[in-house]
Amino acid sequence: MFSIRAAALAASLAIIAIAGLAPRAVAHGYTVGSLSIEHPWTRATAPSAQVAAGYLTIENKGVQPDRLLSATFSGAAIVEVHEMAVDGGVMRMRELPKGIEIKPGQKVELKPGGYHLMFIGLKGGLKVGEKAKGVLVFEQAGRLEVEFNVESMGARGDHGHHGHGAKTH
Amino acid sequence: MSVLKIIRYAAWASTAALGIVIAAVLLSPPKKPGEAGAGRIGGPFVLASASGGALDSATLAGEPYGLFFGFTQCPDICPATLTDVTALMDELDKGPLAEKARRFRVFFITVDPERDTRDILASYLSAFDGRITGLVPTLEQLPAVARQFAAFYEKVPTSSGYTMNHSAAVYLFNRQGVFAGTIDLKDTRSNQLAKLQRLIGG
Repeated sequence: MFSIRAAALAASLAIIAIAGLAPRAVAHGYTVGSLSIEHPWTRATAPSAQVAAGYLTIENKGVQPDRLLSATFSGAAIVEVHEMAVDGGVMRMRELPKGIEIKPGQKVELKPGGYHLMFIGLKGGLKVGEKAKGVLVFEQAGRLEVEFNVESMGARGDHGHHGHGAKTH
Repeated sequence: MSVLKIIRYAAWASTAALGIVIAAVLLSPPKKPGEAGAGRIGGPFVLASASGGALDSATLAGEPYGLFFGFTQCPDICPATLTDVTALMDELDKGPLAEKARRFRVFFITVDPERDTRDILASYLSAFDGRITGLVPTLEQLPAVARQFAAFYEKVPTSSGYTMNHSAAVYLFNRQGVFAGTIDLKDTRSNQLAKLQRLIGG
């Protein structure tokens, strides 16, 4: 009895270990260092629009804090890291010159109504269904090339929960 | 004087003071309608329209309208609000108020006239419902028009230039041109629709 139980335990531990090491079979996700990045996306733009916002989720699975310092986006001249909030009916936006910290074990969401990458000086319109390349620069984990999905102009990022294999886009 | 006596005098004194305050409130002349007090929102305006010419709010008499402040270099809340309004107009068009909804207009007043020219605004708004009209105040008109609607805006410097903070709500005005509340992004779609139906149907 004991040995069967021990074998079962060893087997489950092995499966967990393998699952952890194997490349993640998640739709539109990336890993760099101890960071896991889910679903970078942006919105289709109106004609003459000069700016757009980039969104994604970053999870720090390591033991050291890290920081999203900056980014580039193929469709824009400049990218800044911004935070926005609606406070007392007023939309306020500010640049975060030091970027966004991701503490060990923390999951930080860049999403509508909060943190975002501000794409400035768009080189052309973004259309639904397109993918646009970008680079995220982290203090510890370094550079990561990603693709931003261009979603509809009214998208709010409430696609079920990303990363659970649900292929919403 | 005993402690009890002091307490009794204090109680009488405060009762008398309260009475005076109540009397003052009751006897003060009532505010005339439209008089600034808690702040009257709205009022006449004439602003350059992105679709050409000027828009004089006097021409809106008899029809309800919506109005909000924003700018085209706004990454999130402005396109989101415009998308919301567009979706709401579609809903109204499908409902029993379709006839009235056809005449319902929404104005998007830019708080960034330095960058938002009429042409840029018109082109930007072409992606949204045709009943949304862009208005471009001059830099001189902007503070006054914002004050009229108790709206806030300010320029915020960033490393590459600047962005704008601004009031986020869509103001609603009824057939009499009187402020009739707001809709905002936090409202559920059905709440937003109900507010518009009440406004347009009323």
